[in-house]
Amino acid sequence: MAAPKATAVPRAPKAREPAEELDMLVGEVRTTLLQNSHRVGATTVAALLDIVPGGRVRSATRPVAHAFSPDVRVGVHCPLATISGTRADGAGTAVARASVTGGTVLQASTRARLTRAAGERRLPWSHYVANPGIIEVAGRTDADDLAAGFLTTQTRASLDLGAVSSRLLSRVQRRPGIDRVTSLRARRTQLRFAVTWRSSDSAVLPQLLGAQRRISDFPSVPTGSAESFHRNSEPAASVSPVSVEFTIQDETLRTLRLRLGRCDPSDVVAACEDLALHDWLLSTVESLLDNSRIGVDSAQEVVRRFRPVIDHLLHLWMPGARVTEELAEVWAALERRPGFSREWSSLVGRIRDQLALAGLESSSSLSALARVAGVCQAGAEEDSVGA
Amino acid sequence: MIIFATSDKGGTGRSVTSCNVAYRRAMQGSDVCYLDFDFGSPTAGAIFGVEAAGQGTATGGGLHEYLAGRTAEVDQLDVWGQSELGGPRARPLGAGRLTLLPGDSGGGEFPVDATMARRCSDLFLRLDEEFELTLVDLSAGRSYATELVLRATADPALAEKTARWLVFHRWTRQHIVAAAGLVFGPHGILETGMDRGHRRRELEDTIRFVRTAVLEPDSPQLAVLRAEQSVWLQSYNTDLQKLAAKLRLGRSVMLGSIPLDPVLQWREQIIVEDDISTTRIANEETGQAFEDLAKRLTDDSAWEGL
Repeated sequence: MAAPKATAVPRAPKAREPAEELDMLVGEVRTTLLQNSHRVGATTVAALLDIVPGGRVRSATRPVAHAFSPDVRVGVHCPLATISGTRADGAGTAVARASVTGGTVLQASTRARLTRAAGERRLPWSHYVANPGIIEVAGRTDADDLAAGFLTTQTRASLDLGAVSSRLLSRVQRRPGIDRVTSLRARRTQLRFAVTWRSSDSAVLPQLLGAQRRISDFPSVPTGSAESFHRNSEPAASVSPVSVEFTIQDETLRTLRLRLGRCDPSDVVAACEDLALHDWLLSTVESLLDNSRIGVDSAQEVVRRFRPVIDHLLHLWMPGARVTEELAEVWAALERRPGFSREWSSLVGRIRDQLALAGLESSSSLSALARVAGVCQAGAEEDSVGA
Repeated sequence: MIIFATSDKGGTGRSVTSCNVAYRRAMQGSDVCYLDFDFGSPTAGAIFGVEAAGQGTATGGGLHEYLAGRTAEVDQLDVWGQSELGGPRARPLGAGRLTLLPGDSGGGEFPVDATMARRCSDLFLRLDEEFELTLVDLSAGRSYATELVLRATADPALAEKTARWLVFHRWTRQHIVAAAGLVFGPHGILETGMDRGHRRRELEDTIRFVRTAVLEPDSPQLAVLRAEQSVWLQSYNTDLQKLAAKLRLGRSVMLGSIPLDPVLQWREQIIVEDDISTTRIANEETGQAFEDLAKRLTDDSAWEGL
């Protein structure tokens, strides 16, 4: 049964003329394995991510090595997908960054804040360049319409932040400093997110993503037919209600619809990157285990197949490591359903079981060998005695 | 690993063999993607039985559109899910992924520029992240597609990636001569490759030949031949072997030989196990030849320098 909707606040009047305020964050994270035969050191990572002249690569070493590039700006002028089919056009810039976690996992995320354009006419580019990360929307549409459209009904012509992320991944993968020897095959995954803010308190920290704006409350949107997990927190007087809808659309695409209280958009982006990383770890390890013929081949053979997971990925599981207190509720919701850590420990359990089995197999074959060797030796001794 | 499939003449069975090899390889457990670089007539969709891309895709997301810079991403079609190959639209147990990157319907050949070569090498690098085998079916003859991939593989970013070539030819005098010309002749693969920054010797070591529609003189199919026919065939076959050896297409550089099978002449599709053992419309030897060829693609002993 669905949790009680936390959208009890009455909506603004239906009239969309003049258009209601708009302030939302959309983005897409793509995650893949950094193409190197082994874990890449911090210095090399810093060089890999140094993709903007004069920009600064930021890094942290705890709890796991993590570094991200300066922002790359991308000019955008294209239609925006809407679920209702209402026409909407966007003009402005998106910002993208690449990051490397544990010297092993490469991510690129592109994000933009959507705000209402002052008029229907496109302004000179200087106006948009002065507001990096802001796309101004012209058209009679609202945030829910745009969010649902962005998450599920993108076309080739509409705003595609994933393509920007994908190009950025490719750009990093071909930089000098890595040998491009693949230690394990893994699919790129995509996490698309759309965020609106519930309270009338606007999102803070304007310098990263743009000017402070008022936002309004939005009702929930229907989710697709794909596997989806949502959770609305109980409405409480003092806490901003949070709603999280995480949907696995297909083998590689996941969508995340967030309705949050007051928080910093850059924290939201970091949380989405963290979620994408862990979702990628789950998907990658799961598909490797699925294809390692557990129960068919010998455990030693099976272990040989998923050995790269043990060498490169297992230690990277640190859910919520880069998520701020304000957004802890988002992770908590995802831990309840679908239960990321639960799934992970089940996978790790299977790996450990196979390792234990492989150990048993080898020790039993060793003892068999020892027995044979013992017999031979005994035989040899007999021979020598006989001689 | 990237495998390029090419032929000098059309009608060699290059596409149908490549598709069958991709299918076998996926059945053996590898993750395989198949790129239809035959821009003029993309038919891989039809061979795999993927209706959505029978003659290339119409979504605007095919390889031709990607290389021309008109779409950021190429459609990736899951062959297991979109055809009846693996049973009822599902991946068979133990099989790897089998993904088709289709051409565009109504595409065509186009001149190559540096941006396009860069897009092409980006695509190869990207696919290599997730697929053990990237099989690229080029169009017949000295095509723009061939020049494009020679430029792309000369990209220093691909230096660590293994790329290998399969040149398909039928077992006839004209086909042998034409295949030799395609590799060793003027504006052939080696010459174009050198122009694009490849080293001749190294490139030559990555090229192997696949004979198609071969009638082996000792084949049971030939039991019905008259004695005169049989004798003639035997001696003609010896002549062809001499010719092939002289033109540097001898057995040492032959990776596979696909026997003549009526079902492949009439129905250019994947031969599945049922075709061999249940309906028995295909010969067992044909299936075995595909199976062996699929294994040899990555068997380094078959690719040692000569």
